[in-house]
Amino acid sequence: MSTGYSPPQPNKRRNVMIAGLIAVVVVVAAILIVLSSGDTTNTAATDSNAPLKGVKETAAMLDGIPQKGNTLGKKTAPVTMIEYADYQCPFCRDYALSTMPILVNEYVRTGKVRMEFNPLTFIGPDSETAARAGTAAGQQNLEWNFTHLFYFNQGTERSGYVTDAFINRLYAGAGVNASKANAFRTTPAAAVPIADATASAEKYGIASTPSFVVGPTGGPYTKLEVEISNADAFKSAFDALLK
Amino acid sequence: MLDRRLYRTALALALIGVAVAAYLTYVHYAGIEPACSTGGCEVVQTSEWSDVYGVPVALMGLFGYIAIVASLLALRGDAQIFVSAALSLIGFLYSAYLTYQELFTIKAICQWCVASAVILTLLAIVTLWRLFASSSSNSTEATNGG
Repeated sequence: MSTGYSPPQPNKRRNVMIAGLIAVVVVVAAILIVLSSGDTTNTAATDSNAPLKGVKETAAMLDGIPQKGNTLGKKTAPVTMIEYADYQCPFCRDYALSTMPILVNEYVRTGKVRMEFNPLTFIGPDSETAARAGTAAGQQNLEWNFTHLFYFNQGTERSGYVTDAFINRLYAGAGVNASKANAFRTTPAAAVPIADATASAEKYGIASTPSFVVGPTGGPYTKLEVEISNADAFKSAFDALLK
Repeated sequence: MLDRRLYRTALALALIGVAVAAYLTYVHYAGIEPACSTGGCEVVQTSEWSDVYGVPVALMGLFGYIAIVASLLALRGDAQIFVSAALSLIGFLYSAYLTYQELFTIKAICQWCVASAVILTLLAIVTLWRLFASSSSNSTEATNGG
């Protein structure tokens, strides 16, 4: 490294500048890192004493809308949108908490659209635990309540936060009979929807979550290419099918 | 001569960085899966470290690399050497943090992110080399930007 160079000459001004540069670099990098780590929307997931978030909001969004298993909305709705999501995926949470309430209020509550939730588990074991727990809630026709509440309280990916205690708190918040659901979620039957969702996602070429397919109820469905934060894009797709 | 070589190496690395970050930014906004042989790109790209308050890290990287290229092309003298070194070092430290999260928290490897981390490491080495070489040589050659 020193080949061809004369030994360093003392240069006070330059040394001060280099020290300043290092200080600026360290401060800016530290700010970036703090901002990144502070973006964890939720630490409540691992704190069993923290109040459950979103209980009121979940009830407000879903109360009065029929549910059966993993479907939300009237079965006579002319349009169906199938969502493929991973419980641990932050973008799925963003969609669920910001865009979905608008769509549910305007299209599902009014009987125009029916939604179906298909759990994918590519992020890790916590995803499967959560998906099984969601399916078990679906046995009591409360899967959407459980799922929405889950997203409100989502923790850090792959941190092992989806514990029995965490699920039980969500069950309580969603009004699910926990002892019945817990008995079901460890059975092989609770994994069937995951396998079905994985197979069906492959059929539609779905490789990321959340992804959506939409079409007239009963099919055929086509993949919806929209920005998840853009409720208007979803609405346009629904409106085109409702014409 | 050495400074000119270091300058060109830094510029080439930063341009490769622009290409990598531009691809990841495109993939992010298009909502498609990045070409991935390590199998973990999707997991990393959708993790909570993939954006900072809604701004995708890929986009931040793209702006960062563009800023490094701009500092190398538009600035002269000490300003060029100091600003490019500062930007490269910030990028290096931040990418080191992200790589740590990738390996130990997310536990998935995204080849594009690793590529970017390697580019930023090399950029930090090259720009720091320039900085200290120019400090010790007092050469005016170091200031012409090649």
